[in-house]
Amino acid sequence: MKRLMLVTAALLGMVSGTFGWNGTVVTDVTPTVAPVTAGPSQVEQMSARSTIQGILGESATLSQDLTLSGTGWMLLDSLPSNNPTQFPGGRLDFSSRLLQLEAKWQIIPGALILDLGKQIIHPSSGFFKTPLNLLSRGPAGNTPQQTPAASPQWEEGWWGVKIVGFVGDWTLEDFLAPPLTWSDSADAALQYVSVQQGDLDNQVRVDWHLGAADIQLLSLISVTDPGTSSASVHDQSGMGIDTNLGDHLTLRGEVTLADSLNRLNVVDPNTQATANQSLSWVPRALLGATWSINNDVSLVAEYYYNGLGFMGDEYTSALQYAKNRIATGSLSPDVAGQFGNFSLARNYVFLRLTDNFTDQISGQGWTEVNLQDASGMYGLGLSATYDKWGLSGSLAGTWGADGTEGHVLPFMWQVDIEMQFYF
Amino acid sequence: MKRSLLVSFLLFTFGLTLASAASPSDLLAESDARRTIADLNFSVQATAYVGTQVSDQSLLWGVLKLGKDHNRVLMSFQAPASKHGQKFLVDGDAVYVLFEHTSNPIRVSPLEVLTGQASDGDVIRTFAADYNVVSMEQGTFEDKPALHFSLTAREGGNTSSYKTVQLWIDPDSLRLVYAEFYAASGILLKKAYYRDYQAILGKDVPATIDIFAGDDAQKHTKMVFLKFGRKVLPDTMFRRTALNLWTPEEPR
Repeated sequence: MKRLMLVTAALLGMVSGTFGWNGTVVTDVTPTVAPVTAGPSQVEQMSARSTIQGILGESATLSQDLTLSGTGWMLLDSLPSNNPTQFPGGRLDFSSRLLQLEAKWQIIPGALILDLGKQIIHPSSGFFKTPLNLLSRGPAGNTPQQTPAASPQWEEGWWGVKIVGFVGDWTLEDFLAPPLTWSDSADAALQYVSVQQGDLDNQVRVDWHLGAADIQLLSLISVTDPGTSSASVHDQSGMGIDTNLGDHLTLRGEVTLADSLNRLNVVDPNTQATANQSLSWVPRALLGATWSINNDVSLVAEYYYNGLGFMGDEYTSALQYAKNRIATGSLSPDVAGQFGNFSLARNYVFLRLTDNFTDQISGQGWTEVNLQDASGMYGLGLSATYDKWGLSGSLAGTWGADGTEGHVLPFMWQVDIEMQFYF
Repeated sequence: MKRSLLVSFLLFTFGLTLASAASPSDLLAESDARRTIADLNFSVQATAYVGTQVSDQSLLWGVLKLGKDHNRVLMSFQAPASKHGQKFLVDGDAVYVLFEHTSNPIRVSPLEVLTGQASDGDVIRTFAADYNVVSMEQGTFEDKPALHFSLTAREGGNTSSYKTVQLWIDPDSLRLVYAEFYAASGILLKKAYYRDYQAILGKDVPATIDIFAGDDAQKHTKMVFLKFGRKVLPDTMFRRTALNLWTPEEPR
């Protein structure tokens, strides 16, 4: 494993040096303590995981109005192991993706742009949650990222065509992503390049710069199983706004509404029976603020409403299901993780305090709180950067009484030691 | 010798005449105009010091677009490698950052530090559009004649990161010499020395700006402009939604 790490870093460095590309190699070692079932009782067990991520990108201007850019990403993952000093060969997982590969042509410079290829679509301004990302795949790879918006969260883009027009203070954009699917045998190779796109998606985005504020409106039409008799059309719409209030405060708000969304519902927590459930008119929203206390210290506060989350008896049932799943060591579907980590309920808040102690060293403390049962997660992190190198350490933990979401999270505490090399 | 004396006399006379004839606001606007280059394409090295020790060093490329009410600046980190590819748009009080390998620029506070003591707005700064002149006095700075301006941020201005500014300008050349920037609370946030003036593209430009922390004389950041050029970009490129379309270029 160590040899592989060195070879990978050397190869990336060599390639970048030869072609003038730039990128980052990030290595994480993550000891984790989680509740596991041992016979009739539940015990705390420590495991460790090591990952190496590499990202390599380049942008080239072919002419005054035509640019090409591409970004590749790869991950070597030891997967959780009980012995942090060993990396069993069979457990080493490799994955890679082409995150982005696009050609941008300014048909009318500064007025009309055609963007063709694989593009990262991320309109949301949220740190903690991103409801306005109607087309979303989340971070590339299932890498340990318990600290929101701290570690690199590289995203995979969508293949498609985008047309952007600028008119006065308005920006109008249409992005069309066709379905792209292939056979399982082809996927054996293509999975290292791209995930498949099952739906036909068309997203219209309108941005309006009004005074000090930026307003955006989005509408996503998705056709599921296009060209078949079971094809169905779904719509999601959203609105976002952000602005400054004086020098110290930036505010942001996002709200989206989906005509229907599916979730995994608990039928019986004791037998671990689940069923897919379609919900109509699902709202999601985020309200946030960043307060720059001074040049070095800032506080982020965000509230998230997850309309797809559970409430009342359904919430109690979902928690019981998650608890039973841990207690029995069951491999039944993970209801608690279906909307991402720590988002089973409807109402959450997130707070993060960051301090740049020096030009090279920064620290942060953060917490996420489930307002429905007052359970939560917390974390502390310290980062140092020097020239091409970075070193980060973080500790994340959970709290919550029995019968709360904090009690059924897949870890109790986790340490992450991360080293970055930039080239 | 006679000739240089004559030139000095004429310059001095012209400077005094200019300083006495024009209003303080006009002088401030004229000072801005003399050092601000339209469609400026620049590269600047920012070195942060604690005492004599270098604590951070960055290289940025940027483009300036002059506007009626405020200027807009695009900037991109070329070094260090850990920040390479980060792009900024400074649009009045709004500052947007686009991190490499992402697609959505994030709005940040104008207080966000670029490096050391330098904020985004310090790289290219003008005063006339954003501040009212409270007073202007004939005085001295470092034993040389200077016009001392007291400025206060305009109500509803586009760039008001500093509530008040004390400014010293050379009365002859209208060169910016020294500035002190204060918060609304009256706290001195930073001090800036404008040095090494050069004739660039028909303007009189300070090639070095040395910014000191208001509360710690040991901490300062020296910004040295390495290259100047012109790059005409459409107005629409200086907006948030176009930040990922901008390809930074080194001035030629």
